[in-house]
Amino acid sequence: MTPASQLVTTAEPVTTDPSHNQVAVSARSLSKTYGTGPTAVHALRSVNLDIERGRFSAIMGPSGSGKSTLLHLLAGLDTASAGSVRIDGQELGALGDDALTRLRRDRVGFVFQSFNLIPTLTAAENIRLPLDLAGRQPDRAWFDYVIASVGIADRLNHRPSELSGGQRQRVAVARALVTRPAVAFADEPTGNLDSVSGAEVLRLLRDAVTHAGQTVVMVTHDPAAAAHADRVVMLADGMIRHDLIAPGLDAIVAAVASGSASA
Amino acid sequence: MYTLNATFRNLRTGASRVWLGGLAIALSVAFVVAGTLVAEASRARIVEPALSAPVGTTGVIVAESGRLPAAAAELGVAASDRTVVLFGPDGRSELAGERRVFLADGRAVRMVSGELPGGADEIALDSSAAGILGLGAGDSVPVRTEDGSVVVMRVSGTVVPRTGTTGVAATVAGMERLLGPGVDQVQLRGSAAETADAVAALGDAVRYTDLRGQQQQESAQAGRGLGVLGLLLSTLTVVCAVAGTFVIANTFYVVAAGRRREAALLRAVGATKSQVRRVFAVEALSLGTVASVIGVVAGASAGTLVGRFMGFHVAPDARLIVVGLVLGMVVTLAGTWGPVRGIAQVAPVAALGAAELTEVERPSQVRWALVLPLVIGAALAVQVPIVGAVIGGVLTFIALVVLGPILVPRIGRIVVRGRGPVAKLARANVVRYPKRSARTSVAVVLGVALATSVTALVTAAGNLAELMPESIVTVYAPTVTTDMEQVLSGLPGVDSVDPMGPSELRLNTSPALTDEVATEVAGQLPNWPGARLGTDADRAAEYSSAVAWITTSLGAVAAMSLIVGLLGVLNTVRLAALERRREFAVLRAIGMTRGQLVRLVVREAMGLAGIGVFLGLVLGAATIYGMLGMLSLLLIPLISWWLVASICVAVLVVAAVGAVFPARAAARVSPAYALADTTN
Repeated sequence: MTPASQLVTTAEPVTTDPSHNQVAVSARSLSKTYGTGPTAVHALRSVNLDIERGRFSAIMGPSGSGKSTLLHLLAGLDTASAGSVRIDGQELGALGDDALTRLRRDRVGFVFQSFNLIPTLTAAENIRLPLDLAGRQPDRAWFDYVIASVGIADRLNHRPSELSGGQRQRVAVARALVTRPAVAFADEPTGNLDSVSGAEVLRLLRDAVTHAGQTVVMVTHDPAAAAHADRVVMLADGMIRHDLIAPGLDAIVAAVASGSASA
Repeated sequence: MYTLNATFRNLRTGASRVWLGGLAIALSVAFVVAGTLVAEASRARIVEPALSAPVGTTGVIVAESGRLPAAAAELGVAASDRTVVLFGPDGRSELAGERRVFLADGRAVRMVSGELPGGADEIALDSSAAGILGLGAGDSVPVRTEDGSVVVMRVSGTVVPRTGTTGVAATVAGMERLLGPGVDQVQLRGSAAETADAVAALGDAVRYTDLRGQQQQESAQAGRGLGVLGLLLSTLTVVCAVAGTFVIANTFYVVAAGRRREAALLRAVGATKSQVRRVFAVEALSLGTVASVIGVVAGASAGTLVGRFMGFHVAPDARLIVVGLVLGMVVTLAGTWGPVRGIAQVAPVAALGAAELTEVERPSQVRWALVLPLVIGAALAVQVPIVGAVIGGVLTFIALVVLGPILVPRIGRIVVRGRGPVAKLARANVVRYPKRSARTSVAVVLGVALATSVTALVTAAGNLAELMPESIVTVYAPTVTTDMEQVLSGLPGVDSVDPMGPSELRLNTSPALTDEVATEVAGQLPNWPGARLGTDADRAAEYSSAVAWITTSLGAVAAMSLIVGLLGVLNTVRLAALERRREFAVLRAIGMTRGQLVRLVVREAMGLAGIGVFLGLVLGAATIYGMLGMLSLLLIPLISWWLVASICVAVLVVAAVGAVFPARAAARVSPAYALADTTN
């Protein structure tokens, strides 16, 4: 059993004030059910969660724990069966598809496991794409900062096929940060990378939080990756099982072990 | 066993991807079958007049005005060009339509059942009319006569006319009852001497036509018509085959690309290359067979309907069915050979590869080297008239097909305009798979090139008569005689005289002497009653009717190619949308609205069609130049740019409107799909 001091159970609501400026994303009584009747699958069961601004949060959990579903709902990629999600104070349930799309474009960034760069565009074009879609001009200083921080200034005119996996993911990180979003979601960002490239990408995300005040939410099953985060939320069976603040690798491994033992 | 099972499973699961490709094969086959049927019906229309007199008829006499006296009918076989209308038993239906009336004489009709009519109130029907109306010997049939009144005749039996396929038979008295007093014409048979005597006996009131001479001329003309007809049918077949081949090829290339992992998996678990090939080959052949059969059935039905509408009895024969099936299979084999062979080359290890958005294709620049001999060949070929133009056109087309993948990126950047992110992505996607885009555009290229040439031909036809120097003198007469021919060819300045038909003589002269010759001819004309000099209007009418027939047919082939081409464009867009589902999900996730995504797919479709239009205009211009040589430079101001522009705009609009459906389907992808870590 993990020490009780490091655990917050789902039974008691998260206490942070949702209207407070310090919260980037908040979920209230968030549920997602697939199917109906006896065959219904409850992927999420009334989850309450506040993601603080300027923090690096990790969401962990075994397959089927609901972590992908939670990510989809928090990022406005899917609609909840019950409950609400706010991004930057904006209630998502009230938004139509176009408004939701604009919100993703302007206030959310994504880093995917398989990079998902558009193959026909150069690195620079890929990075600018969210801005182009919005018809916005990049903030020059921020743009230069992002390019410099991900270290791909010399590869900007290359297409994804001419870049290594690590370089592609760094471009993807730059794309996620270019709009200076309220929150950037990273879904297993090191899943397709070797350990050196993976560590590099984690350092980029960490730096974006530490030095540029960005908010990052990373979904991972890798305790070593989660150890870079300020906070680790662990899901099991559609509920938050553990909520660890700045845990070390050992605490994470212990929590993972307790989660799988109780599952 | 596994191979067989896998094949059938794939066919079911893959049907939604390949059905548009199958439709392209079916359409191509259907067009060829229907086109051949209709063309043969129109050939019947060309040939029939030449054979309208029964075999053995040496000449025809007709009255100069009014009708021949009944007595004349005794000289030979009375006949009529006029028609009557048969009514059904209910007195209303006109299903059987108009019928020519033949003399009830063994030389004009052949008995099928019953007897020949014996009196003025009896009539023998052709088997077809008897069948449609459900009448037989002894029944009554109301007939609307020449003057509009309706008389009831008794059916004596059924006959088949010795010329044509439909017609009724009556006695001379019966003919007079139906068509009015006297007969229209009498067909003579017998030696030239006997004929001359018979005609002389009737005096000046009659006109005699030497049918033997006329038949020779007409069958020569019909032969020329058949030559053009054969050329048009070959064009139709080749264009259909090429258009269908490229659409089905594209379908299978895209499907094969999507199934690379599946093929690699088969290889990884121990399937040999030939086994993998067989899986896809069986699938291709099954699709080809089904599509060919559908195409033959649809084409035969459509051709029969159109043929019947034109008033001819059309029946698809076994030969046509075999031709259609073989064509469909050849198109399938030619189109799927490349992709089926390619799919088996996949390395087994590809089954383990990471899911990644599909890459960009880069064709080899070596293609430039291949094109040079083709272009030189085409340039040399067009020096030879007509045949050379065809060979030159084919070589130019092959050169364009070879060069297509290299040209596509350049043209794509021209035809997809605009600065926004949607335009930028559309431009990039259109040139992303240059080979695929080039293959997709082929049928559109053919269609636009044909359409451009045809419009140029139409305009040229309308203007050529004025452009051409007056170097030909034409004489029209009710009946051209050898006497006329001899007199005219003896005139000073006349190089030669060509009989152009039963009532037309063409005098070839040197251009400088045209006016003098025309004056001399005019001086001779009073010797021949009814003869006159041909005017520009005559020539223009004759010319434009011939050109209209050819251009209508070529226009239909162009339209067919455009239809198959647009089908190919939509097919490619649809397959690409399926293939790029994940990419679309990524775009949606990072902020592309549904509207923007729909616009993206629609612009890609317009881009693909635009490439076809662009290359088609180039090929069309080259074809016009090849056909008409330097003359085409004179014709440039005459090309109907409005017509060409309308066709191009129509192609783009249809592509855009058609793409809305796959575009909307593509835009429905959930942005959450971007996070899934598999490619399906």
